[in-house]
Amino acid sequence: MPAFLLRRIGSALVTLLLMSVLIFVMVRMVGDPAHLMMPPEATEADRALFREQLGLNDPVPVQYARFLSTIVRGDFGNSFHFGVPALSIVEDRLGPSLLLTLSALAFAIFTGVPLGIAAAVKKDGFADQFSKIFAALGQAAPPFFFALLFIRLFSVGLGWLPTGGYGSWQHLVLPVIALGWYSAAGLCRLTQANLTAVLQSEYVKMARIKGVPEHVVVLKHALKNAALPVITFAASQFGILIGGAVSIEAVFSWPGFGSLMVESINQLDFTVVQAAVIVSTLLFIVINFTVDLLYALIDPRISHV
Amino acid sequence: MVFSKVIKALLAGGVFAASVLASGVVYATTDKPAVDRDTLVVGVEKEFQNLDGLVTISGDSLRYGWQIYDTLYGFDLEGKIVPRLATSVTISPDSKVFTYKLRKGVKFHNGTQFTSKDVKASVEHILDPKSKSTRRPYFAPIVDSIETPDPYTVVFKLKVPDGAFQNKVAGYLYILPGDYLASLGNPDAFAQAPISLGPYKVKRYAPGGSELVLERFDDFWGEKPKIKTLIFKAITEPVSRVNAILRGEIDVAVVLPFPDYDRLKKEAGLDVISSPVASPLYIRVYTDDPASPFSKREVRQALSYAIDTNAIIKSVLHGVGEPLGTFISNYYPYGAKKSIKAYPYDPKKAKELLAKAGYPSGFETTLNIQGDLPKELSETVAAYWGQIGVKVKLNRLTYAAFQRLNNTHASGPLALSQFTNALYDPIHPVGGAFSKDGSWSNYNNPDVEALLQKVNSVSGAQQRGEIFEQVGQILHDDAAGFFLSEYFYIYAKKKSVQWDVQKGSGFLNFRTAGWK
Repeated sequence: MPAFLLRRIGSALVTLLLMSVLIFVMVRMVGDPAHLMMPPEATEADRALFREQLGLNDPVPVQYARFLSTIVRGDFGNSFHFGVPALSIVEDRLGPSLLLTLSALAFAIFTGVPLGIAAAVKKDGFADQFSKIFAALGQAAPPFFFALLFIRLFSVGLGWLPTGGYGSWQHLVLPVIALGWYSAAGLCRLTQANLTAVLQSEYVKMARIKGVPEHVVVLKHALKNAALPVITFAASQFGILIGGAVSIEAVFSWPGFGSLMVESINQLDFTVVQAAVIVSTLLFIVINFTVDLLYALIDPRISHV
Repeated sequence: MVFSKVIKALLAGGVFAASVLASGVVYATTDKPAVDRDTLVVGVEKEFQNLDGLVTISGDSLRYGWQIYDTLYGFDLEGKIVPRLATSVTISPDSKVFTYKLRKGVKFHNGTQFTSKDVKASVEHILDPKSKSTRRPYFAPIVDSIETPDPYTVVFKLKVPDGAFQNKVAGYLYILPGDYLASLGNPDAFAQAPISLGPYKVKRYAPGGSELVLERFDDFWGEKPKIKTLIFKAITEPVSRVNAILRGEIDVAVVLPFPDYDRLKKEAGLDVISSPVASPLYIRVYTDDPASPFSKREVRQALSYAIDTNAIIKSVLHGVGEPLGTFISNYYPYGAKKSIKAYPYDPKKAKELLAKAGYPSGFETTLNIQGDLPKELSETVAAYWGQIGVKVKLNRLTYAAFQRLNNTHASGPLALSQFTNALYDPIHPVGGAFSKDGSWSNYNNPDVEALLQKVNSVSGAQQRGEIFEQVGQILHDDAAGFFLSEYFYIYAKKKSVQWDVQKGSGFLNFRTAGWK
């Protein structure tokens, strides 16, 4: 186990380093903040002076070395636009984003999995039919489409929920469903398919013959074996949800991480983009690691020794 | 079968959804306040970046600037220059010395008294490279010295005559408290806790600028605002701003999409306002390359005759536009000559001129496009030109990428662009886009140069206006650019909101807003 941990930490550091180089160089290829921020009347001399103040006149390797030496102290530099530490802005936006994605994941799991189970238990029953349509709709359209549809229907049309913003549970409902439906659909289909297969296996038949009550057969015996791919899938959805959240955050004016990233790239706020990418890379490393540990916990055949 | 029942139910639901979604449906919009009658909630199009009004880009500060800050002179609702923190100004005959007499008894948000020292400190804050002020290019090349002979007199001495200096002071020189600035560790710190002497002070600023809450400053020197709490919410997605005002979550929505204009007009509880921002929507032409067809005036005139701007305004801009005959908008307080009309649509004449210039079967060219402008705009122009044989390759760029090319004379031969007035003096657009040294200019006309040279040392609306009218006429006759339309912003407000929209610019002015 300690060797496994060391290996993972080592590879995490390499990933972070590669990512930091990549984003550092790429963001500088996108554009020049001096051109974006200075007015049209500015001369090249004005822009050169401005670049110097932002530390952009040095060769890129020099800038990168300086960047590395400061981030080990947790200093990502000041945002070009906001004038405050880039990391503080990223931290402030991380909370709302995690709330949104985790809620969407929870929504996906708590609707997708039970629906999948119900569908598997009674083929061609109502739940089975409903789950087919639920899944087809969820995977047919991108989250922002549902977002716009929901706002028109439930906010503007019926007036039940706010059109956007952040702060109360009402603000969370529509974005979570719009974002989570796609994953819920996938989870539903996968749970159903796996459970259907497992329910036809010999040991389930055996359990039934032994007289084990049906709900115990399904929930205890069968589901446990059907669960592994479902967990893998659910974990992999986290990344997809974070990506999907970008458009959802924009539509719902959710003050999250994704909208910050898009805005910072548009505004060529290099320091914020860098901080955001490093933080999200770190986040993904932690998630993947947690998933690996979870596997071992559920399936003792997988071990990390 | 159950399946078909479920399908039927869903289909019925879908039909319902579609019927609600169908355009033209009028929702029951409310004109009740989103919060209460002491509060106004405004949905803006971008996050607030930096509350230091002297540092951030003008597109950012023009939304909060007139609420939090104040200036020596300012603009009235039409853009005429009016006294604010100063009571009078004396301008030397050569437009090089500007002496302002300051208002007495004016207090900053922190209680300190406003004096001439604060004006000097504010200019120094701009000039200090460490501030990273985007206003520096306006002041650094021209300001020689600032003298404060007494607490209520400020004398600006300029290196070169600048007839538009008054406008720069009004548009860009927000006054900051000098002592407070000096007490801060670094120039960046001011943006975290900005203090000025405008009618509102900052109460709360959400990290990342998604929300800005302002509170009435009771010791404001001028007319007290009626609204106690002013809340700005950044709703970056245009559709979401429309939805938010439809549901009444915000009281005012700014910069709404053109396609929603007609639909919103049908809403009983809303006033929809299209307001000119004195900003020509135009195609910049690189005329200075002798090998290019665009160096020939006939070609430029031909292409002007080939575009039906009225049709473009009606279809692409959904009627929210006005034809434009030259680069000086009719919504400047001076300088626009009303008799200059847009080139009429005349494809026959266009073909003749093109043949006369030596291009009977047209030519191929490239149009670079500032990506935040309506996509159909460039496509329509290209289609019109295609009809006279000019094939246009469209090259749509992100705003940042376009600016880089456009600022470095690399966006040729044609570039579709627009920029918003912040000065109310035509030198701002004309100097940048049609003088030989302008950042956005690849046009060199000795007649225009001579007039611009002359206007530099002339102050006063009347005299400057006359010169700019001549400039406008030359730019029209020479077809110096392709002028498509006046640009408008669309605002929506609840009927019960009393708010006069600032004309001829994108400045947001909530100083006198209130509830009816």
